[in-house]
Amino acid sequence: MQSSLADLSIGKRAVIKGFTNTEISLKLIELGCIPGSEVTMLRHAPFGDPVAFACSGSIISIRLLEAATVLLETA
Amino acid sequence: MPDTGNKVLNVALVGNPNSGKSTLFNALTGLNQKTGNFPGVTVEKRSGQVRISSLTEKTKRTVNFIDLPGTYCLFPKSLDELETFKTLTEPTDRPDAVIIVVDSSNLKRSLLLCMHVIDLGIPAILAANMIDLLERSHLSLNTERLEQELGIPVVTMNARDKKGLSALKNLVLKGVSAPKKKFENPAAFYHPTIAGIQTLFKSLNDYEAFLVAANSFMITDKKEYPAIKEILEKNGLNSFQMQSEESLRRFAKIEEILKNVVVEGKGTRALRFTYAIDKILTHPVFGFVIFLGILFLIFQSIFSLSEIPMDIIDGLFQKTGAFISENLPKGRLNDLLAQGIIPGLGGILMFIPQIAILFAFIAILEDSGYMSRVSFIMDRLMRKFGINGKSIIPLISGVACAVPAIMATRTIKNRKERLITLLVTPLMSCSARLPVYTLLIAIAVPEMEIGWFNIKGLILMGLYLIGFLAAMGTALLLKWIIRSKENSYFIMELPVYRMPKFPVVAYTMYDKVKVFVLEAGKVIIAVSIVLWALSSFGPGDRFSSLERKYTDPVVVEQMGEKSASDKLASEKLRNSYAGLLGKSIEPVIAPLGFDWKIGIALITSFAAREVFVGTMATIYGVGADDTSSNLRTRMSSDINAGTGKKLFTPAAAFALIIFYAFAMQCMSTLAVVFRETGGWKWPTLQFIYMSALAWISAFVVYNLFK
Repeated sequence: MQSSLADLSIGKRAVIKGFTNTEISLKLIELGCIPGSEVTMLRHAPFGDPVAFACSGSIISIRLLEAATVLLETA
Repeated sequence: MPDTGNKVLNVALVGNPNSGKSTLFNALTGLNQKTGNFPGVTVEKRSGQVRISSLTEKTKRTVNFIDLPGTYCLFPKSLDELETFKTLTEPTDRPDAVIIVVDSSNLKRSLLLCMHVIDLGIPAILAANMIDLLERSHLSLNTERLEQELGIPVVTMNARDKKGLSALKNLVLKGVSAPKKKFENPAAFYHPTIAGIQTLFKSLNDYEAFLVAANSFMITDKKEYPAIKEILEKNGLNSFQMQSEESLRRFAKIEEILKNVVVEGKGTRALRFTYAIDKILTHPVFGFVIFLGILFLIFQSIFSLSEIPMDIIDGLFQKTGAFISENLPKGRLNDLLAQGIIPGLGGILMFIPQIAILFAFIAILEDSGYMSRVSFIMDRLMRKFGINGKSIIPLISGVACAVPAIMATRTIKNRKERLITLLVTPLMSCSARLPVYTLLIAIAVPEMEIGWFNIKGLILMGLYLIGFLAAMGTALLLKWIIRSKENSYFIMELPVYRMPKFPVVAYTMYDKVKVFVLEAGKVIIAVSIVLWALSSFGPGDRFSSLERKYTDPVVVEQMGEKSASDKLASEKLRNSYAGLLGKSIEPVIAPLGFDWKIGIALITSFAAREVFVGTMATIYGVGADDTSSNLRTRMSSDINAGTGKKLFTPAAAFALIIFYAFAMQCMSTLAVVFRETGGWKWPTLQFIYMSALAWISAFVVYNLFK
């Protein structure tokens, strides 16, 4: 199975490979999260959702359902 | 000094959210902004006109600065971003020049918007803001190189400290020319599509035509939309794909540029600092505890810090009223001033300290970057109520004023979530309710303290909580009523924490107090005059027959001089036009424990809630011999003619408080809901729902406490 941003555990880094949902990808791209960028999972909000990750010098919050559409390179 | 023409130069500020754009706007325009500009998150164009001059350029010029809502690129996704897009692309709105404000510590992301604006061909300057953040990470910006790469002038600055401000003004004075470079050539990728769009809109250049095609899903209301869609389908393209392809091509170029301009740092100091604070502020347990603690602190401060200045202002107006009534010639004008206008104004102006404190806290929460953390920790909870984490910002701003709060809902992309948020926001207790609450709590509750806490502060906090619960309950109801298939997203930047700057906070306080005084002042003076007239005159010869009755020597002898004249005054009010008006709605409000006097206040405060206090001041001022005692004492000792008991029993006072908590008594809010929803359907439903909720709740409260 493909690993996605939703599976990345706290403190771990990975590289974005691609997106499975165009509409969600547009919002992420304009924030500087493009394929090839490194992402670091920072923390989960109370109740585990949404989550916050760092990418290209910004901190971005995203819901788990949306994070699942962000595919990661398998290390 | 030569003056370069009289033509006003329109200069727009564009930038990412949190790039310090509005701080720069405030620094440039100072106190010359148009009133009606609401501080907080910019969701609407704001403008301010100033004359700028410079020693080095030896010129002067009038410049109209326009602050546009923050956006990440020219592919708008929400209504606030659409506003910026329209201003930059529609020929009628197009500014003469643009200042592109970027966060220097996050150039990669910021340059996307910068390139978009450059490709539009509008004369532009790059303001590399927050340069201190970059420097603190021991990085430096090669300004000349960046100017070369972008083909526009670059000025480094730090708007919060006004650093670089005069350099920027000089550049504006010198005259801004069109960018020397273009980055994208859309015709190379989408030639047939662009040619097709250009046959629909003759005046568009290639890039503008590309933007129309790539943003087609945002302009479905345009009459050309079906034709645009057809062109896209014929060429096998869709707008989403065009946007993502273009952005990715631009980012490839940006990375090339940045290699030569700045050494990219991984995790700058500001970011590391932010990570550390977020660990606590968004902690599963402490996050909520701290949030509630902050709210608690705000409400305690509103009461305790404002007590002394409020007493001073109140005293000042009482003295002025007494002075006028004694020293100016007696007559109608004297009465109007001493019994109408002065108590009306004083009743409301004494709330300036509370409003200033409330807005100072809101400004600190927003300026520091904390507000978006609240969205983050609340999103999961909010979703259960059919709204999202972003809704918390309008809800909290609603504590200050529902009007800018409702405009702030434009940042919510999903239509249903936005609609629910803007419908429930007026249930949050706004600052206009504060004077009403303060006055009524003072009447209903004896002065006492429980340990460290002021009991009035606790009750006030409880009222805000009730407002919040009513908003959430209503949201839940609406979630089941309004149907929508649109997806909801919560992808949002969490800005780095910054120490709130005193001038930013002070400016917000000043601006809000100014708007409050001017807007409320106008309504209150008008209402005071009308009300004074209505309560000083009555139909037919009722007044003269009353006067004959109570000045009859026999009656005066029987009742005593003092009580005869008191009785005369109250009988006059009862028989005045205002009294008759209040009487006419008494049957509706009697079940809530209210009499006709409160009825008058309910009618007058339909326009704006805070008028309640002014109305009470006028009603209880008319005919009062003793202008020195304050409103609260006069109201507390009033007798309800119907029951023969005190009018403001705790039950009636609480019922009235609850009524004001829920009733829709604000024309400005209804007007803004009308504008934001584009019709009378929602404001009408909102009005009916809130009025019914207010009446029923007040009825329940009155009967519980009675």
